[in-house]
Amino acid sequence: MREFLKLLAILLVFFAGSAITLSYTYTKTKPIIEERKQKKKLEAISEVLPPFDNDPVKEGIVIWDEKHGNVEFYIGKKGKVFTGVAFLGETTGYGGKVTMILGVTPDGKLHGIKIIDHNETIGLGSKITEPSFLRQFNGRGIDSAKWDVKKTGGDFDEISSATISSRAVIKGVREGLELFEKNKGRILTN
Amino acid sequence: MAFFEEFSRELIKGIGKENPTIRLVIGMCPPLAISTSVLNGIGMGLAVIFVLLGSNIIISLLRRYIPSKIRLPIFIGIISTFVTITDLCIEAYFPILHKSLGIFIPLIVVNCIILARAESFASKNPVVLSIADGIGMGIGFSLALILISAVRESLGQGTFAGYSILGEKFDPALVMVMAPGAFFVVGAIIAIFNYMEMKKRWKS
Repeated sequence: MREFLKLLAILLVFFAGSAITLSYTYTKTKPIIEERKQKKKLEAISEVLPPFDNDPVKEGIVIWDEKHGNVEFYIGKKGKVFTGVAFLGETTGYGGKVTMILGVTPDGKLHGIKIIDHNETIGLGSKITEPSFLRQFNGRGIDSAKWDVKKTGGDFDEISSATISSRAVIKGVREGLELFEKNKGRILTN
Repeated sequence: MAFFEEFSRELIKGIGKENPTIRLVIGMCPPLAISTSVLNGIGMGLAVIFVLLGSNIIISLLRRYIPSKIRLPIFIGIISTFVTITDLCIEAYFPILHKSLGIFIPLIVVNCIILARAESFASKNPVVLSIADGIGMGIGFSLALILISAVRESLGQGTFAGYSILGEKFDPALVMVMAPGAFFVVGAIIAIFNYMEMKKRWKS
């Protein structure tokens, strides 16, 4: 019993030391990490939205959706006029989760899309991040396209040897546009 | 003088005859998983050198206060502390590297090179030698990793550290940057080094 307590005390001392070291490192690095995340978010938003002169994050709203959970909508305005809304979309590709940011204009058409994070195969599926693939979605609305790859009767070019990744993006865009249509009322009146 | 010799012997063994990746073939997870580009290899190598050096120093300094019954939890605790520090610092200062290494930074905790050095070297030897051991093993690991990723990146993407080296006409063999390519390259490199070793033995 005494030995047990002694070993316990030694372990406690070691892990207390490691906890102190870690909390110090955490407090030093946290602000830097957070600041860059915010900056990156704003950059991504400005890439997919039409020109705006407000702060889309500050004027954004969070809407709960039964399929997507809580979604943050970042609202872009120019001279008080609503120009577009940006939000994150998620889809499942070949290598797991693909995260994208979509920019939609008030008439429900896609203005811009950017892939933020993915684990697709390098050199094949990873081409979903290239503008030459993503450009084809711009200006599309939910009813103005057949949402599939050309090979199976859809409207969209696929990346060769990466049909699963291409389809995943197509599905992600479609679901994003649907989400916008469903919550259009609440977003536009904000 | 004798001390200096000992120091350099411990330093060099990790790079050469006890190279963890090529000779001992331990800690093979990063060489297989993240060796898709040279920059990944360098980043991972530096992270491992830092963790190995830190854990070797601390464990060697405190070796008299670590009861052998609970040495493993303490080793793992010290190692994971250094890994978390590395993870946070890379995320704060090298976000691009953090993104491409991803889960493999936290996984350094279970890299058996580090625990093996703690158990078989740092916990039995003085600090200065443990530093030499940590640096040597770390450099050996990094060099092997950089070699593997250089072969994979140049054959698989036609680039070296992001710069095109094989020209426009070169058609990259994508399989080299995918999982099977890792096994091809690691296997071939180990075979070449074994062959060289055997040739040396035949001569002598």
